[in-house]
Amino acid sequence: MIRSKGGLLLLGGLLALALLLAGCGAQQADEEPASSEEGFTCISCHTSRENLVADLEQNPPPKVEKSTESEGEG
Amino acid sequence: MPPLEVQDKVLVKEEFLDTVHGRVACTSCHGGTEPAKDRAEAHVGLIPNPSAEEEPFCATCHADQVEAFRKSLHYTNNGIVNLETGVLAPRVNPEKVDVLQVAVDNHCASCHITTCGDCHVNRPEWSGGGFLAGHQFRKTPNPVLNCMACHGSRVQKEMLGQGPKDQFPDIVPDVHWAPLGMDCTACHTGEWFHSPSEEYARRYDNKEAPRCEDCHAGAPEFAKVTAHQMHAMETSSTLLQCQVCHAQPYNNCAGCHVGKDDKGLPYFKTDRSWFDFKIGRNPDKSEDRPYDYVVVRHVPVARDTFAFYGEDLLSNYDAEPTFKYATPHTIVRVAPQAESCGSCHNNAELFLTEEDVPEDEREANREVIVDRLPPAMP
Repeated sequence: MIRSKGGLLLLGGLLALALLLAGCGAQQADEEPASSEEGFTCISCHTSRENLVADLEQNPPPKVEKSTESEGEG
Repeated sequence: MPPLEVQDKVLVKEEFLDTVHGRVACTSCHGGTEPAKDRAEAHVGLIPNPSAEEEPFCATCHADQVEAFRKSLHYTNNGIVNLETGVLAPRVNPEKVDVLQVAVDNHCASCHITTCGDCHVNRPEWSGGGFLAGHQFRKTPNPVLNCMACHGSRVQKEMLGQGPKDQFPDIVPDVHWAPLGMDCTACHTGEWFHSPSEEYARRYDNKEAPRCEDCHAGAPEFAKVTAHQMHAMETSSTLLQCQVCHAQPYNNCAGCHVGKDDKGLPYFKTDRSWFDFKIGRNPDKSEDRPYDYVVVRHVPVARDTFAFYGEDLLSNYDAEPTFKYATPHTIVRVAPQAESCGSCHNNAELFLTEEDVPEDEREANREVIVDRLPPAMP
């Protein structure tokens, strides 16, 4: 049991250090919320082809318009 | 180039997450919001192409490379778009530079590489973009998906031996590509790409550019070859660029005209392109390129290329040849013209003579046209 303010601070510091050492990658892989209840993350969508296909059907990207009149080699 | 489905252009491979770059939080480079309640919120503040930023995140760790790259022609595009020093400069009508700059910016400035990602993460945006390998960073660009995505009409066709077989049935890939299996970076090294000592106006101004001699001139057998003694050494009376003996036919273009379609979108049309091999006199003799004879390639520009934007924009068209110093990627050990001295000497087919040049371009090419063939040899 932690009885003093100093001890509490020390424990907090150690926890923060442990989180830091675990690194961003681990945070992404293990702790990122993947459902809409917790909120979407970048990789929860961008590592899933199915998710991307479904999303792109809903939100087709704007077409980059290029002239069809170009001919020959540039 | 194999096409990419739109979802595959942005599909991140799980393996990426185990790489050095994959351990950095996505939002550090790409901005955006996470976690987010939906797609729209996730994409608020999104930076799709972080290395295109004025201060790219790449520079946090790769500051030297970013700084050097931004001096390179791939980034500045000086050779094409700079009307004071680039390839068009000598032809420009000095009173119509502003109009011409608009035309050049509309039509000729879209293909340059402005970002680290265009070589190391994705296919160049110009060719449609999309990840090379699920967002994994590639130290060495892919020769086909990166380099040839832009350098297609000339380098790709030449390097891969894709010249017209009906006209040149014996044409083969550049020997460095096959069978030697060297890719672009074997000569155009990463170190070279990322270390220009200054901004260059045109590519042949770059004295640090790769040269055949870097690998070949030191070989002991080099000086034993009679043709090298005659044409490739300091003591030679007539100096030839290496490609004169070692290149196969290569691509030429002519008659590029630009305009805008009904929707206001810029387009270009070239009248023709063709494979050929022509030896001309060296129009750009220098200490670095002291050759008397070089191979020359017809460039796309025409007297009225930019006529859509106004009359006479290239009023000094004749100030520069239209057949220009070239370094084609069609190298073989012994090209047909080098099989013997007699294969080349006095062979009018190989040389750029007056008849090969359209009448209205003869003045421009006066210093390139070969008016006296080398004498016949036994």
